[in-house]
Amino acid sequence: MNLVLICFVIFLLMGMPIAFVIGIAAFTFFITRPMLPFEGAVQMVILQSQSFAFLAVPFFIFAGNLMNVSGITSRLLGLARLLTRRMYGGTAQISVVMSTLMGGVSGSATADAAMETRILGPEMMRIGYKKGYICSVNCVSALITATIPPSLGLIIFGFVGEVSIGRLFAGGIIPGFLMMLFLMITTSLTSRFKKYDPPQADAPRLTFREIGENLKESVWALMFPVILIVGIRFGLFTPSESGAFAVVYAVIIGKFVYRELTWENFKDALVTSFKDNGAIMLIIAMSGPFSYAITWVKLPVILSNFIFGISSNPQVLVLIMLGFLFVTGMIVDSNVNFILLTPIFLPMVQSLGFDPIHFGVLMATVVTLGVMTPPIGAALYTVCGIIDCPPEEYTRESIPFMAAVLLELAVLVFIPEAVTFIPNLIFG
Amino acid sequence: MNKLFSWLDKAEKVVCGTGFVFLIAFVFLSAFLRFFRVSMSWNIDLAMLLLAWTAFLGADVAWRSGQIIGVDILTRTFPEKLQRLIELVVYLIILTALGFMFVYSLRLAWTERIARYQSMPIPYSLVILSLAVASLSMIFSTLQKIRRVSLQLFGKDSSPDRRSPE
Amino acid sequence: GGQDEAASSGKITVTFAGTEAATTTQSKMMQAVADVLNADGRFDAEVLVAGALSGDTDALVTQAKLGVPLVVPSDPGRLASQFNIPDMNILMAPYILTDPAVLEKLPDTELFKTWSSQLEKQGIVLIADMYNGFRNFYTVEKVEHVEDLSGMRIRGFGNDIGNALAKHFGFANIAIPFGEVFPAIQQGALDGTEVQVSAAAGNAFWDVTPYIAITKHYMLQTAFVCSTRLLNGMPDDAREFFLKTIREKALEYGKTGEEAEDGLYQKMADNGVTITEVDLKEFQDAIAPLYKNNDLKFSPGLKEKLFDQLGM
Ligand code: NA
Ligand code: NA
Repeated sequence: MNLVLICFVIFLLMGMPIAFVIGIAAFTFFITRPMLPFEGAVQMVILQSQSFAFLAVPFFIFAGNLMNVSGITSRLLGLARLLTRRMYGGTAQISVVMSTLMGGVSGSATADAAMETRILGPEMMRIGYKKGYICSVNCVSALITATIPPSLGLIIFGFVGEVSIGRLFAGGIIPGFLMMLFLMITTSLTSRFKKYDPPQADAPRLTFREIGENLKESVWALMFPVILIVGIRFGLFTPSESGAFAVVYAVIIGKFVYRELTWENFKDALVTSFKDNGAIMLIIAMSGPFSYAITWVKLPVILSNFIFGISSNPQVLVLIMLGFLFVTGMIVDSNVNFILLTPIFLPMVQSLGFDPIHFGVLMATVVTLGVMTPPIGAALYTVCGIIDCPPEEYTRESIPFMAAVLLELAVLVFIPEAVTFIPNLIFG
Repeated sequence: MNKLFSWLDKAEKVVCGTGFVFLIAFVFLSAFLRFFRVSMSWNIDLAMLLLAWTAFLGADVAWRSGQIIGVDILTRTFPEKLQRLIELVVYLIILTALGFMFVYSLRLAWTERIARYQSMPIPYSLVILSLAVASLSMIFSTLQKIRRVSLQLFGKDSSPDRRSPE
Repeated sequence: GGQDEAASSGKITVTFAGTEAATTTQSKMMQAVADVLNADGRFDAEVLVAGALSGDTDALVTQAKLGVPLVVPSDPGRLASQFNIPDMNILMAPYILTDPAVLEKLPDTELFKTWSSQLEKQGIVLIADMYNGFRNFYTVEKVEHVEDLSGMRIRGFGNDIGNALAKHFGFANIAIPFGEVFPAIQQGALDGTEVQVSAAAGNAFWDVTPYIAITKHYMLQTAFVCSTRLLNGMPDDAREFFLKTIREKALEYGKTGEEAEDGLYQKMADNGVTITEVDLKEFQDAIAPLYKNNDLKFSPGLKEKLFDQLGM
């Protein structure tokens, strides 16, 4: 096992892609044990792809990409601009509101962060926001997108932990809106402090007529999450299948309502989607032999005994786990975090009577936050790359936003109803 | 040679895209049919077979297009030549691993040659072959990367461009 | 740690790797076997259940075949597909085996020995076949007669046997991963499932299926397998002890499981489920054409041969 860990660290530092780091480190485990044939390692790679619940991942990635090319995203942006035009730090607030609206159609934080930085970044630089601040608000607020259903993090947690994805989706609604509130307050306070973008004195007051005009178009996008949850609730499709319906819905709205979906941009969205899916699946597949190796040496048992040794109070234990996940999230890929730690943590919290849906939403949020934290985070490097912002500057400016998210999570640990109320209301 | 590669690249994208669309259509259809009380007992197995092929081939397309990259948090502080050298070593390690994956997935497919899907009269080995084919394809993609880095390192044209987008 | 230490201690290393939860009879049986083996001193046995090593039974069997020192609980139907022994499917076919007591005699039959030797040629040894419960229908509407099943969307086996059962009983056979069955019934994507009571009670199915029809159409069995390589690597006396222990515990826990079923049905009833005793003859008659038309493509006279060898 030591060899596995040494390989893991060295390969990671050499700049090897994470999927190969995990896979090749685990291969050394199989090679050095005559008892374990190498076919077994290959078999574990393949088996990871054989989960029906995982289907929701490629489907929602595709649905999200179709939304971007079919005019749904641009209509939501119009609505977000309308809603925030009289606020302090108005352009930054657009990003927070936009991520909330996008939450209902997209499941990926990185994709949302990249899209909004691309759209809002240049405008924010012109108004005088610092690059680090621009990246921070666009990146961290994208976590709202990944909390409001559909959410890739919740899907992966559900498929690894065998927890109802429908319930998890419903459980993400209140925490998502609460996060919007926390981040809007943070944005307002920080932009006042830094004197960014004060509201224009002549900005007209928002009228119902204006909202109504906008809703006529954007309602198709806003209905999307409602249709998904209703479809699951009434047994039309299972949560694993819901992504296929999302794709069909996006195609219909893009083609027949907004009339912006063409064969060309459909093909672009398709290629982007199977590439994204392949990249995620490669990580998940290569972690198969890795999980096998750590089970073989009983690491999960050792780790859970260690954590149980610290405290037996469920809330304290969950706080410790979330802290642990925040730290591992800084260096480990989010999918790897889900796959390796869900099977260890979930049975532990369940044995203490902690609700699996409640835990799932908290875990998915903190693990997804990992893509935004330095030193290693996919979303961080994506947004910083878009407007050429030094990651150090991002790190400094993101502290208040990260703190807001962590505070929200800490509060949610003690209020299970904030997570479980809607799933219980919908699913009984 | 380049012509062959670009033809293979295109073929891979077509197969992968078609498989992806079929996968969606198929899962949609099976939910639809279930609503109308029509049996479909092989839907899971077929969906899983399509998922494996589209995912592994998709991974190769992503790998070739430079989407799957590591973190250069340490190496970016190194001199340019050393960075390229490390990159080359990384590719060689990956190439070896892919070679193992290719050979052993074929061996596993051979071990499972008799097994049939419980729900479909087709060999279970088809799902294993998805990894064999994708590994082979990734071997070609990695060789191209090795060639590019080698040219940067040892070729006459040692222009110090950063990890060039492919 | 773990198995590495065992390998260096000179003991015979063996891992029991199952996919059922730790609380089921199958998992308890494996723990009991491991305890006996460990107490003996020649073995270092451990038990990994709930899919800790892999959630895919067939994959675990393949690993055993490739040389990993595993004992895996599979079932005759899976082994039939995996090793292409179609006749072995008869052990899982509806209303063929109807009494758990026959499993005591089964290993001595010529047919069983033929199947075992076919498996052994492919590197796998079938050590014991353990009773693992009767399957019944758990539904949202009451089922008393065969025609009540007509048109229902029921989750069953996705293989030829499952399809044949659905055809003759008239329900729509829907394949859904077991973990999604509960929410699918709750939300109306399914009208029920056919399952053994241990799984139904273990997953609180009383919350979603208010009716059980005691049709006992399948008698489930757990087939414990390991590789010929693992057995051949043991000294003769250790091998004998190993096989004897598993076979004895399989019989013992088969009976324990059978006795526990009454309590589990009671638990379902206590939670408000209506249990309907149906006329088994009616259901058996509905299945009769399956064997007359030989839908499952068994060798000629297989059923009669099996009954004859079992003295039925
Ligand atoms: Na945003
Ligand atoms: Na979302």
